[in-house]
Amino acid sequence: MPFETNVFINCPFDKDYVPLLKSLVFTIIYCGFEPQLSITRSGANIRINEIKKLIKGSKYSVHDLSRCKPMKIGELPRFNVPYELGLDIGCFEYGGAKLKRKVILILETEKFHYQKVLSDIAGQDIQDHNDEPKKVIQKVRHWLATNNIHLSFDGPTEIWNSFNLFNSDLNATLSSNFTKHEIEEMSVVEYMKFTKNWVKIKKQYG
Amino acid sequence: MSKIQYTRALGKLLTTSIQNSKESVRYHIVSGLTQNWSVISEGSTKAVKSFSEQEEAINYAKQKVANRTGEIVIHTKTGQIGSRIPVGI
Repeated sequence: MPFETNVFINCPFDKDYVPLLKSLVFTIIYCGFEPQLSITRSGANIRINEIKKLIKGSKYSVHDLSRCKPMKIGELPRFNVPYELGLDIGCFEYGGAKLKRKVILILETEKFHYQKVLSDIAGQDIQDHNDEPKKVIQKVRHWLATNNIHLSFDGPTEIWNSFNLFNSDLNATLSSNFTKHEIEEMSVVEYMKFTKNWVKIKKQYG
Repeated sequence: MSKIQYTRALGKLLTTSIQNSKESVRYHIVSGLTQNWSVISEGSTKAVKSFSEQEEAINYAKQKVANRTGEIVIHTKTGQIGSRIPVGI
């Protein structure tokens, strides 16, 4: 796992979040980085130990706080994401020289929502996405480019259009053997594998 | 539990579709980053033309496919496939 290109993703894995997760994973792979998610690891280890390893092994982290509130009446807010954000900030603060180079991006739905629920994170890089995949692509691409000025990055429109075309190609390829529902429900692990393959060839053929 | 498993054969099939895509007559209607709708030709990631209304973009794509057999793929605002319209002869 190369530290310099690993991006730890700390986000919900529920069905409603899937469109945002897909756009997040696609952008990271498209920009030449490697997404690191706890959901892609085997269940043999205690989950939090796996998460600590991923945090320590990733220079970059994206934490999405957008689901730290009830999404429906009667639903409870969830605190796994802010808990893991705290671990990551702790890793940066108390870790060695290598970990002082960690770069953290925090995403939320609406601007300044965090001020009401987690005001101690003021001063971090916090961006809003309004629950729109296209905004996730814009914000994550911009953050990676800003922190890697020695690398060249395609523009947000190019990445967004590529994301749309990739989804079309993926559906066309799989539709002869799988239903639309099965394609939509594909695990993030499989989605990442197809994305890597497609991006590699897309970059070769321009 | 998803039934889809990545295999080399499926991965290869997916990449074949990119390599052959320039020959297909297919247009994509994609929600733009600003409040617009872009028409994108298969095999390219650059918009041929953009419109303020989705309907205008679909009509333009239909004209582009005229006299040939093709397809218009309409994407949702989340970047997924909304619908496919077969067009042409």
